[in-house]
Amino acid sequence: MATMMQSKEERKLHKASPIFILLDNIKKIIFPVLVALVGPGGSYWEYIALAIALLVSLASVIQYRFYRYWLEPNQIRVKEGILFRNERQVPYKRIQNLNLTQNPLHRILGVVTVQLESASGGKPEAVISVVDMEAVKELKRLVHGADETVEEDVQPEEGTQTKPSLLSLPFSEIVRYGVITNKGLVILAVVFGFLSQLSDGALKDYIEHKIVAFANWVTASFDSVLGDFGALTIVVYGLVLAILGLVGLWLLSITFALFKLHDFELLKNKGKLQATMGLLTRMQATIPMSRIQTLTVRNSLLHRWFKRLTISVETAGGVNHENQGLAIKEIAPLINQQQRAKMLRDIQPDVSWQAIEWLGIESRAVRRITKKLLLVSAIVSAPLAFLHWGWTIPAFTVLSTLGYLYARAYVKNTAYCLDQDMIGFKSGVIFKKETYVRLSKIQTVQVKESLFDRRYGMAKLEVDTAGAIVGAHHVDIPYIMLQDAMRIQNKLVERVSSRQFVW
Amino acid sequence: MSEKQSLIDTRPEESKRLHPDCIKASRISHGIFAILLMAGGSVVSFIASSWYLLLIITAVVLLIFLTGFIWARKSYQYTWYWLTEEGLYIQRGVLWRRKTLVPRNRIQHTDVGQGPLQRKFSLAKLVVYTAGTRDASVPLDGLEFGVANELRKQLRQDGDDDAV
Repeated sequence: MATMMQSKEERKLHKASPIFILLDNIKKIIFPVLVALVGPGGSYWEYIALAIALLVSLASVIQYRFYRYWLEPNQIRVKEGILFRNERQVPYKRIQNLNLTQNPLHRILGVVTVQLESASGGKPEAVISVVDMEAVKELKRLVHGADETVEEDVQPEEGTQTKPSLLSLPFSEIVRYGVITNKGLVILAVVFGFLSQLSDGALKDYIEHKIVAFANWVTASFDSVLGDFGALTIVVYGLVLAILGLVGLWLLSITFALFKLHDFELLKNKGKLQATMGLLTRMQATIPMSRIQTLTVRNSLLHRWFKRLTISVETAGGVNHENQGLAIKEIAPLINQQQRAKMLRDIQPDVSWQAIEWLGIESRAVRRITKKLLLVSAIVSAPLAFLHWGWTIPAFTVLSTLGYLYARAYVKNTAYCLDQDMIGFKSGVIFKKETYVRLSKIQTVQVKESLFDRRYGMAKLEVDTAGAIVGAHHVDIPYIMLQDAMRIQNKLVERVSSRQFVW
Repeated sequence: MSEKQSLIDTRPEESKRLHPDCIKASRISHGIFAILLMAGGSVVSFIASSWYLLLIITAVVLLIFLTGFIWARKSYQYTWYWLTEEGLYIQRGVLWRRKTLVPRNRIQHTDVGQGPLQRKFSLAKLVVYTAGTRDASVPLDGLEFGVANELRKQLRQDGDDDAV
């Protein structure tokens, strides 16, 4: 084979590479530089900052000339660095995911940024920015095994007929995704963060002036259309503002979703899942199914209104945050509730999804949670006594009733399941989530018993896996009897220790 | 409260304790911490030239040291570990108790470390590393140095069955 013969030879990046490295470096420093420039003006620090920025950019272009990689029979070898030279060898077997990114400029020049992830966590193991399609094809063949069919193509447009598509998102679904996830809030937070960075300066005055002018225009047009409402004016304005805000947020969220998920397609090919998405910047991630560590099904209140679900996965590849590199965790951003069984079977075929039997947590937990919430209600409503003593009692009554209802709903919705291959846990009242872990992916099992647990003879069972995202939903089963927790731990021990961990 | 069975009562026969010297070591380190805290406090109250402040600081530092002094024994009493065919169990915690299991075939590597104080008592800290996230490293502090090395040897898997 021709590819085998040339696999020893040294490879360089594509000739267009310096442009992308430069753009990447500009992206890294643009924010602080901008803040320095538009902030309180008139100090030479800005020019020093600018000079440093220019130097860094120039240096980064030289990086390209020092970047080499070799595709050896069993591993990829990457050599980089100008002063501090670094050589890295990554065996193909250890590569967890292979991700591709293409922004419009990439597409014009016909090149791709490749990101290789191993289980080491943190940063991607190697980022190759940028190479042409031929090189990507070869890399894919080597990483995904030699049995790969030759016609496997990077371009998603061409390969769609030959591979079974698990999911594709039409425009209407993307709109629903935007409304459900409300990512617009994140953008708003970023905008406000940026505005607060502008202390005093011409730009801030300008923006404030514009906002005031806009508000005046809105009030003026309302008055001319609707006339005066007298005492009700404030209420009407409040309502109108709330509606405008909500619509604006949705529009923002939908736009965000459109940029991210345009032309989303999930394919399954020889035990690997391949997701392609993006409006301007196209992204493609390949995740071998055997490397999925946990699987989470999300079903929030909005999901239920639209009868949709979101399925996300965690892999041991350490890139869990979008800042660290490309991260595709939502393997199925939005599916119809009826597709659930089929999709789960497609993503994790070796789990017996049909036979799930949910076991609830202790019903006595209602009392414990209610007690906790009573205390919270008391703390919240006590300061009202300073305003008017009469408000405290109704506030406390309402809050504690809500607390009781919440506790009941919480206990009703929390359950776990355990069988020969996996353990599952579901919880949540408004944001319902279910997480499943295959036993072969379990790292440690912990039984916890708090001071309060001890009083009731209860405990909590926690399962740890590789690549778990901090703050995400995991298998942490609270409020079960100590004996049950111990029984589950023993069962898990037997099964886990008979299964070798394979990343 | 005590009629209910607690997590601490569920250990098997072969469970072992840490070395008793770890109480002393822990108390000494608490003492050093208290002395440092007191030194800082004295400087502050000297600058503020307030005897009243010094009194309060002394009381607080004494309280902290006393808590540490008692806690050292309590913590020793509630820490157990045992090794089974499946893996290493560690049980600990005075108020919030927990029992961690690290399966043998999930151990990535182990560390045995000693600080200066621990060297004096020939104690050691065994750290078991897994591929997990919260439990990426599971420490067992206060073992006798020889025991820690022995435990580490027993945890080592036979043969090269790495299937990553």
